[in-house]
Amino acid sequence: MSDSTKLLNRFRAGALCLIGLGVLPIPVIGESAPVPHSNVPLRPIPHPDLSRLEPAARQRIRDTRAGLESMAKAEKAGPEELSPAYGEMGKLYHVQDFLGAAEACYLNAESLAPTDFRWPYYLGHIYKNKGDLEQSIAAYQRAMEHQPENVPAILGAAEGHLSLNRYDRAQPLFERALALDEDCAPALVGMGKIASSRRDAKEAIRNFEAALALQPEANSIHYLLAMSYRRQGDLDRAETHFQQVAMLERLRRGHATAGYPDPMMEALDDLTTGWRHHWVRGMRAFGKGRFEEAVKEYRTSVALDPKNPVPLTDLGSALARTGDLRGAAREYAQALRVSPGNPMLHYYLGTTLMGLQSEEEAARHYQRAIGANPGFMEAHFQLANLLMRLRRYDQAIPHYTSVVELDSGFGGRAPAGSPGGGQIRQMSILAHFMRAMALVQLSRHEEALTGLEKALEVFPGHPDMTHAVARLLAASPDPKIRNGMRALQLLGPLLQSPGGIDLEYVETLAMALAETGRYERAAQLQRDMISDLQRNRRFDLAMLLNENLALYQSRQPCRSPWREDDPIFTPVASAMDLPGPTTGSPP
Amino acid sequence: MPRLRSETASGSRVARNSSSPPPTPKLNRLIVLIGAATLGVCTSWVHPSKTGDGGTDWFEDVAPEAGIHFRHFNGMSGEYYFCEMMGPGGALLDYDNDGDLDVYLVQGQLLGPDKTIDDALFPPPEEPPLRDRLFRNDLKSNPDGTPDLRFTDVTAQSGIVSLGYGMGVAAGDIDNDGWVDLYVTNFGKNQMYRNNGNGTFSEVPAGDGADTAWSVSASFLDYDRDGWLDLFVGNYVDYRLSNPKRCYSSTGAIDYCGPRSYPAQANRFYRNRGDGSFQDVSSQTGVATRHGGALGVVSADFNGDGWIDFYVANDQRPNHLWMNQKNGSFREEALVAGCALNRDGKTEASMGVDAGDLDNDGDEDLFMTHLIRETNTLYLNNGRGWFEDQTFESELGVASMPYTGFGTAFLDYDNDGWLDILSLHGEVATIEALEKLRDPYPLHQPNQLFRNLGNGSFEEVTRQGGAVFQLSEVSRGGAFGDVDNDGDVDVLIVNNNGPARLLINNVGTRRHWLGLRLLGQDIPRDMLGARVEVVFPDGLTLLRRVRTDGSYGSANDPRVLVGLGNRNRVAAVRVSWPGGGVEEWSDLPIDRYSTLRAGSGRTVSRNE
Repeated sequence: MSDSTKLLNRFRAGALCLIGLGVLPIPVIGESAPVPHSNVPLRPIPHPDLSRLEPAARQRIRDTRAGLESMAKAEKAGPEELSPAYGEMGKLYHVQDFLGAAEACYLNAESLAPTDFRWPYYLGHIYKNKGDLEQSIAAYQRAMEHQPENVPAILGAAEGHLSLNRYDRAQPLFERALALDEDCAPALVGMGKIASSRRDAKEAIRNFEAALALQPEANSIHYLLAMSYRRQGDLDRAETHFQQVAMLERLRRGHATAGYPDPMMEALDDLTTGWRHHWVRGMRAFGKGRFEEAVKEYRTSVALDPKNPVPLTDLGSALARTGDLRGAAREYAQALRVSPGNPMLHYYLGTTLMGLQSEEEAARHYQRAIGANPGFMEAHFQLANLLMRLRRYDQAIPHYTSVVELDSGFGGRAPAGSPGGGQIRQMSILAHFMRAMALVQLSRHEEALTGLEKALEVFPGHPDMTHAVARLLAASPDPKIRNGMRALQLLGPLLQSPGGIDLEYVETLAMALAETGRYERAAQLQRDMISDLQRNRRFDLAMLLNENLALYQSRQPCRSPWREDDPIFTPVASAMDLPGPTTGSPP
Repeated sequence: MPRLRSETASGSRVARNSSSPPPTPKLNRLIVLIGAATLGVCTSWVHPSKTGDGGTDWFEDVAPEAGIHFRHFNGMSGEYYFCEMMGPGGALLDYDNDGDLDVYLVQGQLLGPDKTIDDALFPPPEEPPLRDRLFRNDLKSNPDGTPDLRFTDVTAQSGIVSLGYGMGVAAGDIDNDGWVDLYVTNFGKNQMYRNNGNGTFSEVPAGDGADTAWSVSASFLDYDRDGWLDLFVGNYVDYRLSNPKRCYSSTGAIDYCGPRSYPAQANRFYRNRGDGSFQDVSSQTGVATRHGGALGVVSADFNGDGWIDFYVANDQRPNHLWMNQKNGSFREEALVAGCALNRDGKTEASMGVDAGDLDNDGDEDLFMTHLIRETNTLYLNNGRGWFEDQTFESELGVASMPYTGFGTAFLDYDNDGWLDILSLHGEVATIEALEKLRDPYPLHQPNQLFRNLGNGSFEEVTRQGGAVFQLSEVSRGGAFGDVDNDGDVDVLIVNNNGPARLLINNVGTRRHWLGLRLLGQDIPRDMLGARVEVVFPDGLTLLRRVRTDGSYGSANDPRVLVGLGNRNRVAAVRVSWPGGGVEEWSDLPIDRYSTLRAGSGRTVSRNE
């Protein structure tokens, strides 16, 4: 910056800045004079400061503008040529967020071609972005006059009315959108919000559930449902959706709000240049499950801006989805070099390394993720599972404990009678359970039992935990905690399940019967199970049951609740681990 | 309204004021001192917006005339350093215990390795080294009874040497000696200043660990009811000048980084040991388990169980509501409580925050400021600590979308008994329209004032606020309190790369008011966290609380100021003390400040 410019800036900084810039007697620097064209009054188009744009974007705008100005000066150009030229210029400004310049261009385009749907439609978006909802609605309404069945325009107007609390005007528009497309999730959400404002929780929930069925990854709908169920007093269902929101938020997965295809706005994205252009295209491909195409776009994006962690991260995620885990790990590692210490990147890399069987290295990255963010529940959980697989039970316990403690932040209410729902709640349940299993492997049966019983206070009646308690009571080598009668009581409801009885429950029943001295019954049950398994050609499992059968036949109780090689001690990685795309900034 | 000593600087205003018919008898500090209970105050006053008000601005900036000459220096040199547009805050505190509020202003520094002052895009207001400033309020009364407001810069003799890159400030009496102490948050190591009680401060260690994270807002609260103020420090993100990233706007243009570009920093919670030292109990309290880039913090009893909770406003990450478990720990419950995300389940870029009983239903509601194109957000409390987003229903949503908000407060500026809202604005990314004008710092925006209509909705009254609301600046911190002791709330606005402004309220005292200072029984300090219920003869009860926190990086007047509307009598004042116990006082005088000391009221049960 030259000294004279700096001096000028300093001088200006000292002056009071008043609002209402349009009325200030300050000349608008670089503003083009109004371009007269026949009888259509056209607005001057401001010259935004392009200096901070990427060179390619800057040049494109300059070239397009030069073309427009030369066309406007050539008096031969008619409205049919000038209107799209202004419109295209407006789109270029729009995509670069120069809303004032874009607005002027679109207004001129509309003045020159008053029946063209596109320009008032884009103006609707411009005014919405500026927070001028009245103008936004008016623009969408003008667009609808030209294309009455254009759902995005209808939604634009409807959502504007909704924000202004004009439910009576929003509702018919949402209804119209649904009449045109019954799978229009934003319209269902809008109808739900209107019902909610009228305190009709049942109708709100009906609409939100319908929207969620269409877009299950939309955490916004989960949240609306959670709040609606909470209002109704159905805390279990509310919590299920809250958990889903929390998980999606933490992993930054999925669409935040209910979306609807908008080809006009997607066309705007195609006007972006440089790394961002390809990154946006990559995101779009990723969202549609076209991962190979996403990889290609992300690669180009990274080549244009190699030190930008956003496309690097997404390239890694897309590669992981194509099955190229080595490539994914390489890109995540590069992203970490650009954005060191980022917990989410460490988590992604750890998860990818898990897939590559590099367990020790994966553990290191999970640990770094936790170091950077001690509240990173998923990282605690995955690390704990990994440590279990590595038989480092004592090290796994504190991480399961962290998951349990972090989950308690949701209020610790039990989803009584509900399936639990939500991956986070599932994670918490598993953490309780696996912590107990780690303690069992360390022969700390009493602590395992205490932990499970505490967990049952939070998740009353949870079948897996109830069963684990029963098995410890029936077969623990620790005489202080053994209680065969109580084990039998706990098993009662589990064995009356209408959906069929888990073989493990019967095995535990036999253990409890033996513990209470009913060896014959225990042995008979064991024999029945073995026969069933043999009939189903599961000779491997049948053979394992022979060990306890021998015990019962010799009138001895079982003193090992689980075999040391029971798969229960080796948790598998869950499906929640594959990263999604980032949403505009480094994760 | 105050008459200024340096009248030559504002002659036209004085002339206009003196020619306006006095709307009501002015209640002033002199009357307070002689203890007059009530005067013949007009009770049929009508809201100025309905009367035209004879051209009187509701608020007037008196900072320069009153002697507050301060201009913030953000140290920017064209490098787009993240921290340069985030500060500063300020405080209103009575550091010398003379009965009026003094002013503390946080200053920045030149930023960047190898930079010299010549690299600064805007010149510093004075020769470096720059430092925070303390201005003593030498409030006097004019012969006609009006307050004569004058400040003196006492930084040099105060012992405060705050040379860091300042972000914010918190105020509270950490050693229960009756002299308010200061905690200054920095981009860098924070600083605790103990008030020596003689007009000077001494820097003391803030905790048992050096807190060098980037902090903005902090809150003093007695979470364990041991009678000593503990300290929550909200930390932002792990940004360092040594490792700046290149960031872009949504269009690909180079711009300031956002908070998601950096990992959030862990917050800190310090327990006051009662011996002048603090212990880091972030882990024990549970506070260390979650962090999201804190910018604002406010403490209050959100579920009405008598224990102080706190709410943390995070930037572009879910906000946190830490509920006191009454056992030395907190549990984070914002998501289930409905105040982590907005009504659409989206995270917002929360900056400033305040809590207050907006709808006069006896619980603490929440309001926070956000980024442009988001709305500011209002959460109404259902009394049990569960919230509903009522932003759009209250008409606060659409009006706030064109602005990026920072400092904010619930304030009853017109003393009608309903808490209104002021939000302070200034963008964090280039504004196209200003850039087009070659504006050297194209982030500035006007502030907004909203009047509570008492029916669940608000109307914007920014225009009526006066000329100071026509200014467009990069406002950040805001501190709120009765600077001229006339019974209405005034506002200290701290601008980034701009002047500090002291907005004196010209309309509040047209209605009756009740002023309270709440002190401990054996502890002569302000009892932060105390809940005050003001009961009127017709049964209406207003809830207020003693606090200094809230807003953005700023500290407020700890006194409780209650607008009485058209009422001229208070039946009772009931105080729930932060250490437990409820007391009641009857027939307190109105239109003056009264001091309520714990143990001097009638003990009542919580359910009485």
